[in-house]
Amino acid sequence: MLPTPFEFDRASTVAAAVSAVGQEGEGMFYSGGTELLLAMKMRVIHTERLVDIKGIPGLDRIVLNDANELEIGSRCTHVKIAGDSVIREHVPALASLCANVANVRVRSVGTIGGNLCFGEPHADPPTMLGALDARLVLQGPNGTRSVHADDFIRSELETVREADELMIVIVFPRPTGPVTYRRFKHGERPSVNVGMAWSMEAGAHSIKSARVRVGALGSKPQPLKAVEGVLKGLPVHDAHRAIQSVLAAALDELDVNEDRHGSADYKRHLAGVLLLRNAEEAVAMQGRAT
Amino acid sequence: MDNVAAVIGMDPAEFRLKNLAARGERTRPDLRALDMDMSELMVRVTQSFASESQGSNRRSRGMAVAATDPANTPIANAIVRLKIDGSILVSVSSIEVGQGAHATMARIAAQTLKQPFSAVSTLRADTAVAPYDWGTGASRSTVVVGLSVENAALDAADQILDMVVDVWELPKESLSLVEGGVSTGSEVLTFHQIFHRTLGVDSGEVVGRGAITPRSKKGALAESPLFWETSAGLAEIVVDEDTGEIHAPRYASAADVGRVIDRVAAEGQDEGAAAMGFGHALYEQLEFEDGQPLNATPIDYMIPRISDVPPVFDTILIENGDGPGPGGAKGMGEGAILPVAPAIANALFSAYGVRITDLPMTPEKVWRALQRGSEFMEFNMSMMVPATPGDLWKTLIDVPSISSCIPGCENVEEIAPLESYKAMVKQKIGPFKVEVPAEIVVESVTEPSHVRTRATGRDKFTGTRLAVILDVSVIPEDLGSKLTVDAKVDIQGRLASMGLGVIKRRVDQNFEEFETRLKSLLGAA
Amino acid sequence: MTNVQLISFSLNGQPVEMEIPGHTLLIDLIRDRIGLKGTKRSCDMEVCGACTMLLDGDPISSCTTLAVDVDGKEITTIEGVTPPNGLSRIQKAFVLHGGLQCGFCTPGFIMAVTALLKTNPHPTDAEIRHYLHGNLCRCTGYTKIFEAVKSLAAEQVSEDAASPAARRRNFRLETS
Repeated sequence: MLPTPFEFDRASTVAAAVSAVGQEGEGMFYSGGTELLLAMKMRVIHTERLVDIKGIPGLDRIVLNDANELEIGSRCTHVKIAGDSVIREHVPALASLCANVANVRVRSVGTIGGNLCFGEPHADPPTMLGALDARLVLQGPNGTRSVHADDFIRSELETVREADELMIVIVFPRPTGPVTYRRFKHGERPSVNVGMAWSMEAGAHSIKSARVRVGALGSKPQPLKAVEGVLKGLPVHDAHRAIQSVLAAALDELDVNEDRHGSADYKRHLAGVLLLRNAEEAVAMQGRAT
Repeated sequence: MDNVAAVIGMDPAEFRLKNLAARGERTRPDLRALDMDMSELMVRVTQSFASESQGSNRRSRGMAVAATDPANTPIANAIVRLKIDGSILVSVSSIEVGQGAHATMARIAAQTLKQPFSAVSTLRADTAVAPYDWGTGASRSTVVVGLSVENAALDAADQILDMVVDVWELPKESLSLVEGGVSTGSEVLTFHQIFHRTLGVDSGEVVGRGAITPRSKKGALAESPLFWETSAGLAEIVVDEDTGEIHAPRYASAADVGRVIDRVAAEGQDEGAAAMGFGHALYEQLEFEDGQPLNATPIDYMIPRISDVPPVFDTILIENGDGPGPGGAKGMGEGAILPVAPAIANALFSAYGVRITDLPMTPEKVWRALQRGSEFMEFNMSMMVPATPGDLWKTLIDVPSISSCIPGCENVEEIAPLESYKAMVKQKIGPFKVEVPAEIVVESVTEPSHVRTRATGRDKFTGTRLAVILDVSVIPEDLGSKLTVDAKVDIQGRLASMGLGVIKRRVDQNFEEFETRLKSLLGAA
Repeated sequence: MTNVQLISFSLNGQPVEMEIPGHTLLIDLIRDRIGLKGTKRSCDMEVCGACTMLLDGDPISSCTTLAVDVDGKEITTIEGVTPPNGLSRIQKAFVLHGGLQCGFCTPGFIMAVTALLKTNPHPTDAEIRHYLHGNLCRCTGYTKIFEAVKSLAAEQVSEDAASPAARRRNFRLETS
């Protein structure tokens, strides 16, 4: 199907893009269009103006900054992140996640920022970025602000981003411990995904803190607080058993939608399976690292 | 079949071989006698796997055989034109939709006229100019339309040979078609020479006509079905026991096609059918609500991808030349879809003793079935013991002496008192020896009245998984205590699928023995 | 219409310049306005891969790409990888191994394989499956497609002969 007609603008600076979207009539930022055009073709989204941000320099940078944080420009494509040497060195799990989003064509043009802004509850990146303690930097007409990845998605397909705020960069601390990500998929989109990031005590075998996010189950990625709590300060080799001891209770806390991807109890169970497998992998990675 | 085989404790393949209808037998009096050996199909898929020994513990295998009766409409016409330059045009109404019908017709014409395949073109079907055919479908084109093409080609050949007979005055028996012309025995006359001398110009063609009706071949085509479309499938699967996801690393598909006309195309037809079989076995289900499809997009409706079909895929085409079509060909391309789902379901049953009967076998469905397990066996007993609950309790938690009551239980090892133990359970059931290293966990204790323990383990030789949940209660009575034991026993694996009945009897015997020993230990009545 | 965009791009090595409405989809531009019908539209939602074209060498779903996005870029379609006489080595391998039946998915597969072999001339079995996971075929059961690609992965070819640029040199696009 054809999208209904719209104006097409190209912006060469963030300020120009923000101002173009903010003009009279509804405008939207546009880059890869893999989610947006699909919705426009299905005529479930209509916009009067698309503002192409692909000409804005700097939005596709990936760097390790002076504050030892990784910065990923919002319009980095999945294929770029998957192949980026900085990401592959410091967060291989994110590179592998991006190498497995949808299919090779979507990865060619689809961007991580677009993926986040669409708020699709079955997406891979939001879960992982929550676990990575990422903040998302938005620039609007009144300047920039940072939103934590956990707070960005409000609900299904809804985020806290204002229509005229452009996500410009995703920032997260360089991980100091193992980062793992798994998803279970029986169809086009994941039924459940689990991201986990451990930060390690310097030179020690114990976990300083752990972040665990479970996605695709409810309207947005959810933390597993009980698991995070029990892992804090724990020697690595005790992690698996410790998770098992609190797992049932932790999974019960999750908000789970029953849908074609599975019944609630099954999806909860899957979250546990993925989490334990992530933990096994993390223990093995930490074993190799020390 | 596998269910029945399991109940009587017979190997499912052996059970099939003993009971299959043989070639020439009728499954129904109004249908054609079987024109193939199902056992041959089974043997061929089994041989395909023979290069590898039995699958590892993680892998299990299942087989299925199937036959279907394709439509029986022996009505078709064809035109085959042989031109002066040796090129051949075939005109039929079969529609080419990728199944290779046109290339097949071209091959039949080429083989019948002894001309190279490259000389033949099958014209795009247009019913305004192509002759009548009943329809494209039901695995019939190769057989029915193919026969009409063969007849048309023979008719064209006849006309060419008659020209030579006429003009060169040679006996017809001495003539034969060869590439580019007709051999007289002593020389080869090119088609050009034949047309030139016969017609007196440097152009021309002969037009052969072929027709198939229910009266063709003395009515042999009239009986239904025209042939039996058969196939066997052998699947090797790996089940992710935690998620219920099934992967099939290996599949062998055998079909009795009579004779192969175009090998690559025929294999492709079979493989495509099997892939559709994998689709409905594992992925595909159209959901409706209020009459409307809910998942009519490729985002919500999953079909197999290149990463979903078995990486090792053996396509076996059996050629006995015994079909009704040209050169003994049968129709094919649909049969291979049939055995996939039952083969996978049988593999699942063989490994886990669970039987799924509604498709697709989605991970959730498989996981739930694994959770339920094969049928739990339940045992209950109760006895009066002339001892106070306190004294009885002391005996009960003396694990070494209690375990000495369990037949086959050896090497009990205490990991943590009243928490966890290890033991070896040895059993011999008929010719099978099972050694299960069991982990025993005390799940709950309420002193001195109740203890629940769970024992689980897996025998590495037969892959048998054992789980026993034991609830032991001590109830105070006037003259001592009442002891009750409720047990749930779950045995899964190949051994379980050999015959749950046999195992059930063995477990029954063991419990009787346990009861006897316990009574004597406790001095119970 | 006010929203007309002037775009210029290279189509199979030939420069193209035209005015189009901003909401035109690439597949419609190529099939309907330019008339190259080799690219197929099937699912129309980026899942099946039938409409795959190469944008600066990378595979994209032309059904869900705005035509304005190809401004200043190179687009390669199935016509662009097909020599004027005969077939490319990828196409030949598909024919030889029976990697097509009805043929509707084939242009998409050929484009995807072209992109794969350009970046990774000798992919492993796993890499082939991972790369082609997003191209759907309902006829072949994939086994013969996989065999075709595997045969190409095993071949040693000179880079020049295999490169799309070399093929383009031999190809003349006939558009008005």
